[in-house]
Amino acid sequence: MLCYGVEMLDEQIERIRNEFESDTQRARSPQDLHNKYLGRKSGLVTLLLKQLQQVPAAEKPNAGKRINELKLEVEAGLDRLESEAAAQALAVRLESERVDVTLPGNRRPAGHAHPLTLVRSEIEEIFSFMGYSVEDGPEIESAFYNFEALNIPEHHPARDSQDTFYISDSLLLRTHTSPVQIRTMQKQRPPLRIICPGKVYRRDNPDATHSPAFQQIEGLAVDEGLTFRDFKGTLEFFLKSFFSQKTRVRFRPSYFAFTEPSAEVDISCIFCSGAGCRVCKASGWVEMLGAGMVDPAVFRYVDYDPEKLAGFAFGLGIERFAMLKYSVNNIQHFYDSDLRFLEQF
Amino acid sequence: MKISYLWLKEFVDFEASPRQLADDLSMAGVVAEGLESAGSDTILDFDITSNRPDCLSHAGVAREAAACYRQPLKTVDTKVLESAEAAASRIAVTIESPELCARYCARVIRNVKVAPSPSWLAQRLERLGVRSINNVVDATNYVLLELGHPLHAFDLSRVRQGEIVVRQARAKEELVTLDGETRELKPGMLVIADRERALALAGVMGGADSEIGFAATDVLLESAWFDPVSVRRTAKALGMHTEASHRFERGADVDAARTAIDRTAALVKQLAGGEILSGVVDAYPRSASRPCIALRRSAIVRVMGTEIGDEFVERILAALNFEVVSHDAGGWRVQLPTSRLDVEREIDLIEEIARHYGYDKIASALPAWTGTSRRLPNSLKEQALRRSLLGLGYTETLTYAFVPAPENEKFSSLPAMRLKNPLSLETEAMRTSLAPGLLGSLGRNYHRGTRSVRLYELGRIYSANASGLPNEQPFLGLVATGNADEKTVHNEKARSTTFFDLKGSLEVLLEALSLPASQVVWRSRGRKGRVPDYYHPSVSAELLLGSDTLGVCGQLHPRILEGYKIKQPVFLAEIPLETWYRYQAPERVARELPKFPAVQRDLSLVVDRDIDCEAIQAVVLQAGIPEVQQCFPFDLYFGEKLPSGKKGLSISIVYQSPDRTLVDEEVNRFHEIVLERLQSKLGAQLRT
Repeated sequence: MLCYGVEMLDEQIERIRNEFESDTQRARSPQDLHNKYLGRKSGLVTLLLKQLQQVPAAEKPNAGKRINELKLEVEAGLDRLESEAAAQALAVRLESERVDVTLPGNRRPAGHAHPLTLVRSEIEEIFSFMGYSVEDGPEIESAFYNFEALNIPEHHPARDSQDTFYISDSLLLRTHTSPVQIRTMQKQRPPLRIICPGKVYRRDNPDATHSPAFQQIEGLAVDEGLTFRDFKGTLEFFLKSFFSQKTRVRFRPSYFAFTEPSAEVDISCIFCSGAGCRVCKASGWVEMLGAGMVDPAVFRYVDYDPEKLAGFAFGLGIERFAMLKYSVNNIQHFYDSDLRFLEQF
Repeated sequence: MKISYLWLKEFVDFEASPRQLADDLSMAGVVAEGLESAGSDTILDFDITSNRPDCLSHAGVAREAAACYRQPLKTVDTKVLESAEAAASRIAVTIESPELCARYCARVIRNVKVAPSPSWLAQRLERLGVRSINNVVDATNYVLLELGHPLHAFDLSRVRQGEIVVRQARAKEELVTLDGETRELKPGMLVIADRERALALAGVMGGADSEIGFAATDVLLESAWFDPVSVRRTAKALGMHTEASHRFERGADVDAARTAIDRTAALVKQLAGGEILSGVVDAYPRSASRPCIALRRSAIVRVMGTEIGDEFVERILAALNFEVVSHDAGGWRVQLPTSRLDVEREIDLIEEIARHYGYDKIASALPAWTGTSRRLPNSLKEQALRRSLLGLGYTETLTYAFVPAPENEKFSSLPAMRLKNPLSLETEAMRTSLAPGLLGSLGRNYHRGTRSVRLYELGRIYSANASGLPNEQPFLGLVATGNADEKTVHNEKARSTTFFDLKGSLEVLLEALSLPASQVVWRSRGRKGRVPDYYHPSVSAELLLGSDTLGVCGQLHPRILEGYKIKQPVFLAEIPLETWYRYQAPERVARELPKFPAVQRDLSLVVDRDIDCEAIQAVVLQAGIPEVQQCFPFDLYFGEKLPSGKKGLSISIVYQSPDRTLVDEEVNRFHEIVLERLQSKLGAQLRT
């Protein structure tokens, strides 16, 4: 009869432990190893447990404890092997599902907003931050609102600069959105801050810089105590917001029948930063707006008291802003509906 | 206005280079658009605003430069060496229309020798864009460029009975002007005449008959002041625009008439010899004296927001020829000169001071504001539409509001407003429909080779109402052609746009404005829909919500497309936005979510071909079964397996109860009832 001394048992445990360790190093399936070590009939650990009956009673607790430790070690090792195998199988599957992410996205092409609409919205937003309301009016206007009420009587040479499309002697296509300002002043009492965006018409033959129809935004502020300083500050804020904070703004005296003093407002050329280029005709400056303090005569047409109130007004061409902002070199692009152009916005 | 740099320097001393001068004057409101060198000189091209006729001369621009550079302005020499004989013995002037001619000065120079001008004069004129004619005519043009006052020289021998009559033209009176054109005149036009006939168009152009030719010996010089509106009307009516009319219609200087005639007479004598008869025949019926006005310090501060020193104000007023007649604690009283008709009011003087003070020296500020701001009433709705359109793949286009009249008539029966002076017949009528612009846009892209196009335009149409007044209505138009889905690496087959792509887009737009898309009915022409005849008669519809037309849409009639040479179906939708905007969407009220499951059952039916889906849905929904929640088609089949005149339509019906889970037996019973109704009402059969 064999004597199962502690030493002998220890040797066996150590041998099985080493064998299990080397088995796990080799690529054997977790199921095979389970059968080899923990199989119900001939698993090596199972057999060891069966031998425990033959261990003298005094040594049993100690021997049982050690065999159990071995069993737990083997079980933990097998669990680890199993989860590693599962992870690997998943990795293989996922790898097989790889797509070429550089293929184009699957989509229906979206439409594109017109660049003039984009610019108009942006300008409207800047002025609405400053409390300006948006007003609207007819494009087919009376000569009264388009000219007389703006201090441009019939046969005034200022009408030369706005060659006009006429429907009849008294009806015309508005040459600016200023009539909306008059209509608004007739309806509302100051204080007033409005902008009037819209289509306007001048009888110019189309070329790279002229279009018989274009879009304008005109603005008007009327309040007690407004001065030329406020006028300058407002337009500087607007132009710097629209272009960039680095933009320099210049006010030059000019003439408009409905403002006095009047100004042309220039910005430092955004292409050459004022150094001089083709766009600014080497001057370093680009003309952006016509503006000025509201002429007292205009206030009289709408029954505002010019001794109490002051205001400023300005007008800009949306096309011009869009041409500068997006480097568009021909105004005709805006009205040509060429998708190759429109899809850039 | 072309200005010679060297000539300018004859009036004022300054150091500035031509470039610097251009910049400095531009910053004072006298804008030089360009400059080019001409020999040792530089010619500056000024863009003079219409309020500043005084700057249409070298002396005028020099005055601005003198104010700018704080230099005195030199005046021209107007000494005239006269002979003993009096001009009045040779010429009399009668002004019959003093309302149109405030002053008429005449001088006579006898025994001149008309000859080509010396080269210094011819060159100076020609560099400034004026053709040299002869020494007498050139003298008048020289003074025009120098002092800005237009003059005219007549051959005195052509003035009958030695009398000048300034009068209105007679009806149908004719005059051959210097350019050789025969002009038919009308009353209201002012002419310079003798007792027999018109000699010149006052302030516009001389007549050919009395022009100074090389044979002329006696010269009558005219220097006058004509009414701006009259000159402008006459020139416009005759389609003329001259150096003279340009200045008179902006307002000439009545005082300068005298200076200019003396200066010219001296120059004629210098160039062509002869004797200047003594005296000026000066008919001056209407005194043009100008008022004194107040300029308050407080007004300057009120407008400019900043104080400008008295010394500066007084210096600029003086430099610009405004005489301060008195001053007190409040400000100044200023005599307005005849040379500046544009300055009439205090505010005009403030501008004069401000522009020389320099706008850039005035500090900026942002004004306080306590009000609110509003959008346009429909702006949020418009934004919602635009956002949806972009998502639906429609690109925005903008087209001109004027179109050829026949294009309007093709697409609309509304009376169009027509332009009296269009650029061409192509742009004669205001559009009464967005269709011409949109189809033109689509066509241009198509012919460039883009076969799939989706465009929208949001803009107004214009028509005349019953009393001929304009009516502007906002419209939305959509056009689509080509593929709705393109063939791509992900999509094996392209799919052409159909009516239902357009209908789907319109449903999205309806929902974007919270219009009840499910209550909108679609009526084709065969079903009482009012669809215009430029649409395909059977692939088009009118959209109705109650009695309101929400628009029309559909495939375009092939005959319309022939005109655009487009060889594939094109779809169009036209939406009157006022009707859409008018609709008040009810407040949204969230429904409770269903507590019990829904059951979906299908039916494959065979029905007559012209039974519409809507009719089948109506029968199902009105079968008297409250558990019927929804009914929608999922398959449509036409084909050989069906008897002719029939179609196969498969529908899904969703049954649901708010208070219990439906059991199979119940649903089977409902489904049978529904089928019976479809059989009895529409003759539908189950497809086997």
